[in-house]
Amino acid sequence: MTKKKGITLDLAFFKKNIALILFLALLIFNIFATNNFLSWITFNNFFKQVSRVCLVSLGMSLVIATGGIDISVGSAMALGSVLAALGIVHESPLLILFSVILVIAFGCLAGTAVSKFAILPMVATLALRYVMRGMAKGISGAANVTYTAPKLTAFFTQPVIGRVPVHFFILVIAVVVVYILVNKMKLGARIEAYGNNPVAARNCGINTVKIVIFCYAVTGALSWAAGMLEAVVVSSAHPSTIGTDMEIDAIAATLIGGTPIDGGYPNIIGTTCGAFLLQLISMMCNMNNVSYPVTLMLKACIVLAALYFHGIGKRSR
Amino acid sequence: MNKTKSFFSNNIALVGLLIVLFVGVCVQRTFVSPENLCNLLRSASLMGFIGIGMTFVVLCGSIDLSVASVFALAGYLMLNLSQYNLILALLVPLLAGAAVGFVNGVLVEKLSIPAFIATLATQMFIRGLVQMFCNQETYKVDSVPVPILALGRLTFGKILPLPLILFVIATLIAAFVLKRRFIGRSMYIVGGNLEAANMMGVSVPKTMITAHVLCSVLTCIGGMIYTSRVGVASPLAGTGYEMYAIAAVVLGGAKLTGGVGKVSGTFIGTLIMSSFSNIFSMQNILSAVWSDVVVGSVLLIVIMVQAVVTIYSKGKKEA
Repeated sequence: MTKKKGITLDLAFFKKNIALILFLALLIFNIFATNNFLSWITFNNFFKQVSRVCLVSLGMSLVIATGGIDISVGSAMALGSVLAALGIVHESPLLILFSVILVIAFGCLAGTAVSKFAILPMVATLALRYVMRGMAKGISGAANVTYTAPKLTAFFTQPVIGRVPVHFFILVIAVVVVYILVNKMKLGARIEAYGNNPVAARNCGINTVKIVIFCYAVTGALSWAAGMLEAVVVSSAHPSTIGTDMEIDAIAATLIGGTPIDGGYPNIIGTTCGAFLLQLISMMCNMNNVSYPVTLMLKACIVLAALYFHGIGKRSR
Repeated sequence: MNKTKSFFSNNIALVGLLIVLFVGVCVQRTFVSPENLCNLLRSASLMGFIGIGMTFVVLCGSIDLSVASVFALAGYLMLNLSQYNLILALLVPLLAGAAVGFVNGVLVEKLSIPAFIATLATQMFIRGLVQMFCNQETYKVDSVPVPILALGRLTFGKILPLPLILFVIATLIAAFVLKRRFIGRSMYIVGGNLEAANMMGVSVPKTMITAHVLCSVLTCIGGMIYTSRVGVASPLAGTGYEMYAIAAVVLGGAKLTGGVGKVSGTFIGTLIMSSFSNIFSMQNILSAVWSDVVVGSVLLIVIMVQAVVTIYSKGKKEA
């Protein structure tokens, strides 16, 4: 009896931390197997690339925790960065501010459609995905928006303290803020309650509409930030390439991290590890001269493996 | 009066199509010319195969995002094998599609991985596979056999393209299966009420896997026709088509939670989606870069209207 209990406990631990375990395993594998892996350049590159996916995934975790899904994040990134890039070109801070507000407003619209009109999250965000990508294309005339802002570029390309890039700090701050929000504040408990049982949450007097709108709005804001990070690297914003397939990576990271797709506890640490894991796979393949097609296939297999472990408990029930 | 009312609330898509056609005629008189309609229907039939397949999957309450890469895989296999054997060139892509569908079904149903992410993973895997086959560049062959080319290019009497005929046949068969066959009816039950389906003795895994297999096979037909029309196989063919197909299914009145939807609805949804691009290329009031905004806005309006109608009729029942 006790032995049986031990096995289930181990499985639960394993399931909860599958993203962390896989990430650490791959990290150790790389330290020994990949040449020049342990270096500041690798560290810098890793955080510069992972910060975008990770920011979006944090928002996505909140949305998925409410039982929703947001497939418009990539388009939100494009719209936000194109508008902001235009703002930098015309030197108008007002336009940059407007870009943030617009993207958040679209997030609120998605949240309203989902919670007030009972539209399926996937359908609502599918429509907004077309609208936002289309607006980005329309505003820029489907052309690249290039700007010159040496100070801004320098801030994001040169390390801040020692050799650590600014992306690292942005990421840490975002993760800590969202983690505290979810685990230490009432709001987090309410999101979890809503995700577990929307009807019960409503009956308990939680303003469920507000909660859902908040989650989608936060995702919008984080997508804007991720779009800016992507645009600032090349000092330009292309409406059709920025943020393509970002929703795929973000959803994959969230689900690997252990946030249940039908709602429940948003596992922020898990999501972060999930995003790190996906980035590490790409990086490992890059550094070992593995071709892009094989990278894709490998990624798919690891995603499936991680999700298979999450499914174990479900099946035995 | 009541009958017409319920007819319209059941067929919002049809009203939408009429509005779109009306707008088309207003924008450009030649919109209804036989040549243009032929063009429109031909492009609609490409996307339509994916849409019909997606209808099966959506009815079961599942979703299939892998169609985007299966589309490319079918094209590559057909073009490659057409150099050796004609029958193999037509059969192997369909078998490959069936295999992918089977894997999707097993992942979703047997391993209980959420459909969205499971089919996303197969999409990535197959995209990688196709890119590996093609060496990441467009795949060409020296001479494509005539029957293969005819698949996408043959037109009867100048206005009746072969893809359209195939599409209509596929639609009719799909509608028949869903209405009159056991497997079709069980798809509605599995999507509508999983527990009831189990209690009634409907095999959920079998139904789910069949739906996924049908979806992938139909997608393969679409991919083969596309490739035959273009004449080359691009490793990036079909990118974004999964969302396009889902939009067509949703416009047709299907619910992504499963159990609600019709093939005829998807047929109309597909026509709406392809009319958009057609109308957009014919007018010069609004620049073509805005087309995505219009597609998204119309989608948003249609689902809002559907939602309001549902809430309204629900409130009436309760009162």
